[in-house]
Amino acid sequence: MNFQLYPVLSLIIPLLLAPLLYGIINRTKAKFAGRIGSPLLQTYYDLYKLIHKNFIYSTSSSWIIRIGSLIIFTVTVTTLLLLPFACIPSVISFSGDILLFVYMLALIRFMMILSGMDVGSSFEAMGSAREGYFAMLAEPAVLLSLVTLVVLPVSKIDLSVNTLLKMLTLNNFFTISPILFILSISFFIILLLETSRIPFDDPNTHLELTMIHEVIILDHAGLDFALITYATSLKLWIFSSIISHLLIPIDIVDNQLLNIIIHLISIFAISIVVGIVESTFARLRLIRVQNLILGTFVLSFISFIICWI
Amino acid sequence: MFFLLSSLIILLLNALVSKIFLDKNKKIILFTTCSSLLSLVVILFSSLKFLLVGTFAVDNSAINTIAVLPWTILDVSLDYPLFELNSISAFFLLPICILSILVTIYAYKYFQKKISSTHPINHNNNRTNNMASFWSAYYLLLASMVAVVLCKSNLLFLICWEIMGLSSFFLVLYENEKAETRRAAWIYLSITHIGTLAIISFFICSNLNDPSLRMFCLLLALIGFGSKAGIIPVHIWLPKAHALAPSPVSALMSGVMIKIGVYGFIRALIASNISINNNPFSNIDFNFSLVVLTVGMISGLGGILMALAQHDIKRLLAYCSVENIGVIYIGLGLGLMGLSTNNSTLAILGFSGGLLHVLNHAIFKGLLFLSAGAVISATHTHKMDKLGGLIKVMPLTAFTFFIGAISISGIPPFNGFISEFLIYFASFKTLSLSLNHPSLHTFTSNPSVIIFITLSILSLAIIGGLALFCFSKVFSIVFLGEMRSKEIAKFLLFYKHNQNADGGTLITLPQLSLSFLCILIGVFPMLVLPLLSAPIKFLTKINNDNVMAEFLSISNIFKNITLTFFIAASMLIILYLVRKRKRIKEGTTTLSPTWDCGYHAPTTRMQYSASSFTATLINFFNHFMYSKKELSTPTKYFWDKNNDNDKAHFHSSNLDLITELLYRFSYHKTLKFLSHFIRIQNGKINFYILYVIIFLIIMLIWSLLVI
Repeated sequence: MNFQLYPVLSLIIPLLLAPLLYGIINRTKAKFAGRIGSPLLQTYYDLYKLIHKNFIYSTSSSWIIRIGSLIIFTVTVTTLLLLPFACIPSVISFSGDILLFVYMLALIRFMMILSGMDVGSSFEAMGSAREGYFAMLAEPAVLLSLVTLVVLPVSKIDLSVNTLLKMLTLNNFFTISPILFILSISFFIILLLETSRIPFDDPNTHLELTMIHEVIILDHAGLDFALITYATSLKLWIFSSIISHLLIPIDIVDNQLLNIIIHLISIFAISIVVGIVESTFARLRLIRVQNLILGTFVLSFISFIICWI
Repeated sequence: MFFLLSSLIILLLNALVSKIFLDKNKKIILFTTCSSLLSLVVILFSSLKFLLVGTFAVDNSAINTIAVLPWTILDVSLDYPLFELNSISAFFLLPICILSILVTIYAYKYFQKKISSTHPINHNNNRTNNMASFWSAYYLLLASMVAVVLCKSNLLFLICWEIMGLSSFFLVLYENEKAETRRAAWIYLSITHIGTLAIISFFICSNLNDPSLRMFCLLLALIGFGSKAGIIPVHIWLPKAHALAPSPVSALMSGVMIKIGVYGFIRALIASNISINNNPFSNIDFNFSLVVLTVGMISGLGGILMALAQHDIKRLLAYCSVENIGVIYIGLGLGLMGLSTNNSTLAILGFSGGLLHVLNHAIFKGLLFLSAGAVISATHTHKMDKLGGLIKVMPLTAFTFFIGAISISGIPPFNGFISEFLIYFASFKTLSLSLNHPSLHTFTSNPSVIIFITLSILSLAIIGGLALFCFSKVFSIVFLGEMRSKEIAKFLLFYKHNQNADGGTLITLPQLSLSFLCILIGVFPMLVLPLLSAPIKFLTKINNDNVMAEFLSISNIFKNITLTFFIAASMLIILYLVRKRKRIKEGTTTLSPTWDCGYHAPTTRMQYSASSFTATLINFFNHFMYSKKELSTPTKYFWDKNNDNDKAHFHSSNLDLITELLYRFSYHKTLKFLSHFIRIQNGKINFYILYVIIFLIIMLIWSLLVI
């Protein structure tokens, strides 16, 4: 079967498998804590249960929170349209779509902040303010990583996510993989930030004064909450997929099916790493968070400089 | 041309008519509004026709005949056509006309309301008298803005430029009973004249035609026109004047008048004969492009940082104009860099991004100011921390402000994203091309190119992140949550029962049309490309085929963007319908209070305020801010009812670093230096006679020695 003829697979695979990543992370954490842990498919059960729940809205809220979850979900899926998977090309690909990719993520964040602010609670507002602040600090790091990818001495056809993620081949593995390795570390930290994992945010706490994502969605319920949870798991998939493409050469095996399986395994491995980080690290103090984000900028900057040597 | 000039004359006549007759007959205002709308529509269509016909004409003779270099000579003769329409001025006429038409409709209604609702007894007579002058200055501003971009000779340009500055000065003075307003107008007037001084010197210098003065000339143009555009450090008039002028005027000034500064700068570039250069890094042009980029980056970052720290909604929007002017100058700087290094892609894309941002900023900033005006006229306050929850009483205003906020943050699918996309794309494409094409190797050998392009990408990224933060703050503090001030809440309750708080059709219609334009340009960006091609050719003098090839590739990208948006929109609609069906089927949508962590007596004042939303960020950037905090804590453990002074109190304000450091500091230093000379003028007549004698003796000695 020639998978390259079916770009829509690069959309379907994440849509099916993304919630599994949460299961893997939770299993890893359970193993570290010596527990058995929840089933691997727990997130699917949760989503199923949430979809069948009733709608509850705050009396203070407006159409923003009602439309917010829908926009967050659809934009996340649209972002997936631009993302290739292993040998499968992305559904839509054009020169310059990296910028659309980055700014789609910004749209998600904007709606997230507004949905949080809509209910008029200080808790949600606190989360929203932090979300905007940390994301703003991460923005230059993301863009600088993109600049580094663009200036890497590899022939590229255009500025699309599709070509940029597929530039690592066995031929140039030894010349560019050190740079890509540093970049993937910086992307990993951004992953932890964007999907609100430890050390930025603790997904298990709802009422600590330090959390970000979990507090924004306090007043979401039912289908809306399901959509946001699903969208966040897709976001986790998107960033894991970027890292996996930066680390594994695109032509590592000729067999297309095997290629896809290798990428799947590496994405699951990244989830395990996230789980390990969550089990072994403590959440950072809020004042320290900005230092870590600036650290990613420094990492991207180092890789940018290495490009010119 | 005939139509253009007659429209211009109608606008001028309107100014005269409203000055003379408005006091006696208030109906006249309807007549002047209609006639000026008509003439603006005529100007809009003739400039649109010029741009489109010029683009699609089989032979480009129409463009070539007009491509006379303006302003090369200090021209005082008035014998050949005073006005001409070229593609740059036609392009700038678009935002001027679009915004002027809508703002005029808005202002017609806005000031009618204003007269009846504020100061009904005391100032009534005074106000109407004011209104005549106000409308006359308003039409004069419209006419002068149109005239400035049409001027051919530089003497006439200066005259129209001054009329524009003075008429807007009078418009700022509308609420002249406030000392603050008078001060703001005064600062505006002085900065405008510093700018004019620089412009006159630019004309004189460029007339000398001396290559060694080239850099000096270009810098004079940057400062002179930049003072109108509001680049840092000559931006200090902007937040003050725009915050205190009535909202339609701020919309007009912030939306289009500051763009005239950009227009003047572009005309100055054309006059200085900057064109694609066959010897890359001809140093002056290249260095100048670096200067423009630096100015753009500093204005962008400084503007948005200051905007974040503001609590006054209009002052925030005004600072945000500084940021957007910065983005425009980054685009222009990249274009200039492209021209001076013989890189046509960078030149075309950079200038297109800059020019398109001029149009886009006019649209969304006009929209935001008009919406803010609607909020202010309904609530009578500028302070964001007193507002909240307006989305329920002013649904239409909230919707339009939402569109404007997304657009200005540069987020898809609205128009701000498109122009920022072009600027980003210019930089990224240059970086990727420079490595893979050996013919451009000279280009990469100069590290400053790479450094500055990377810096501009980074500053655009930070500007984007901060703008997102800033506008999510404004929208959520003003429109979401619950009303923070009890008095205003009562006030709005009255509106809810009696009339529409949005302010009626004539107030909402201009906002809705502007938000429609935001969506139109954002979703179908290829529509604006034909408008851009003629100005780009005129500006860069790159041959037609190159420009067309570049535009073709851009339009392919834009088609893909549209496709992506359509897929997203259809998904959104399907999802919405599915959810709606589920809601109807189950029929149980519960409304309950916001979850409050078990604390059951929350008040609306407990919500996050504008300053708490940004507090962490302001702390992070505190080296670039000049923030003042006053904190007084209670002295006793329990509140003493009889002692009001013992209440806890906190107040923070963020002052403009540039104003504080550059202007105030230099002012005090100058004052201190000059105070030494105060002894000379001591009021004793015998000393003055002594001065005269000393002077005569010096003259005597000089004449003896020299003659």
